[in-house]
Amino acid sequence: MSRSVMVCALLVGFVLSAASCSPRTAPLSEPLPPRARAEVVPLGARSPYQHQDTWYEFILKQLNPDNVDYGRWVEQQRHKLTELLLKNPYFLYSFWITVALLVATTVCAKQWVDHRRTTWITAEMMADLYNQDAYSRQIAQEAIERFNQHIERCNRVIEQGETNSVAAARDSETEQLRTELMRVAEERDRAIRDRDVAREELRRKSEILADMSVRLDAAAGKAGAAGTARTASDVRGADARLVTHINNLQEQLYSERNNNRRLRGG
Amino acid sequence: MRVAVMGFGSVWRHRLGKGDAPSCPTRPVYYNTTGVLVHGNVRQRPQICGYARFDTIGGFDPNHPSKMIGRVFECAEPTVWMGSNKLLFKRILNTDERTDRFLIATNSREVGQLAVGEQGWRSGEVWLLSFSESAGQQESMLLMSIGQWVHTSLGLHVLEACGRNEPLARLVLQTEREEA
Repeated sequence: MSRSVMVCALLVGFVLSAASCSPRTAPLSEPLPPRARAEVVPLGARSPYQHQDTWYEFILKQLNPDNVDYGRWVEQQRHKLTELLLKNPYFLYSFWITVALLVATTVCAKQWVDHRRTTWITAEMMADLYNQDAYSRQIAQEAIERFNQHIERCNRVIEQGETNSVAAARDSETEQLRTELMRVAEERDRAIRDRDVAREELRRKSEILADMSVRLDAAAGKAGAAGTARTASDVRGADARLVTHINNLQEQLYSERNNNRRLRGG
Repeated sequence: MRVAVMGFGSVWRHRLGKGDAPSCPTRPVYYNTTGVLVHGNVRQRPQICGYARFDTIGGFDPNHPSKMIGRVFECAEPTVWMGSNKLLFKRILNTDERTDRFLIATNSREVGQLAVGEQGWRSGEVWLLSFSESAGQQESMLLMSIGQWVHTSLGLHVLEACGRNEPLARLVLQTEREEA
């Protein structure tokens, strides 16, 4: 944007320079400052040749043809403003009053916000206290109801104990009967268990008897004396003395096996 | 005969119940005998074969055999069946019943080596139910009464009662000098 403005300004400058290529005949309409005029006149008088401006002097003349000193003008305006405003007591008074009002407004807003926040917190605490109070009343009411019911039951029991003493005797009699019933049930269970054991024993003995019958039949078929003796020893297997003797023989057999193994160097 | 169980052998076998009739099913039966460790496995290695038979119908609980320790059983008389010693434990009795004998299970790590078969290795009424041996290890099941004894490589072991109201007994080591 600034580049295009520069280009436009240069074009305008060239056009104006082409238009004013001829020497200026008319003097400057605007009066120059006394110093600048004094400098220009002796220079033109002294130099035999006409001074040729540079291009940027030409552009400056086009932008500021009256050769106004804007720096001095700004300084004059600033000085005038300082004289009129900062050194004016009315202006200072108004300024400080405005500042005080702004501060006061800020403080008021802060106080209002804090008050509102405090109000909210207080409301929450009051709500909590109210809920706690309601809960405590409810629990107290339930406890009172339980206590009343318990007292009511106690009163009924006391009244029944006073009026119905026979009922207690019935309870004790019922307890005795229940104990008797449990004892009879245990005896029944024991009898059932004994019966089962006896049944199992009977079944086992039946199996043994059947097996022995088969063996006896086989032994009778062979009609051997040795077989007859072995069958007889099986039949007398329950004899304690024979069992003890067999046990002794087993031990001796084990001992002899050990001796034989030792003699063979095993 | 009333027998109090003081220990079991290492080998258990069982026979599942099979009903002869739907109305009278038989219950499982458990057999206990001795065994020794062979290469990390328990093997029977029977030198004197025998077993104790327990019927679940008589109150034996196979799931908690440790609870059977110290219980008194009603037993049949010891028998020999098919070449093996057999002791049938019929049913559990109350602990206050008088105990005739104790079933003791011993092994060589605890009581030493039993001198089975040698003269005077045990008192007369001791019944050796089962005996297993392998590679110097021994395990045995003995049927003993209070005061009876066995000789081992460690010395003389006497069965002594150790319970006041309970039928408990244990083998206590006594020296030969005290015995004399």
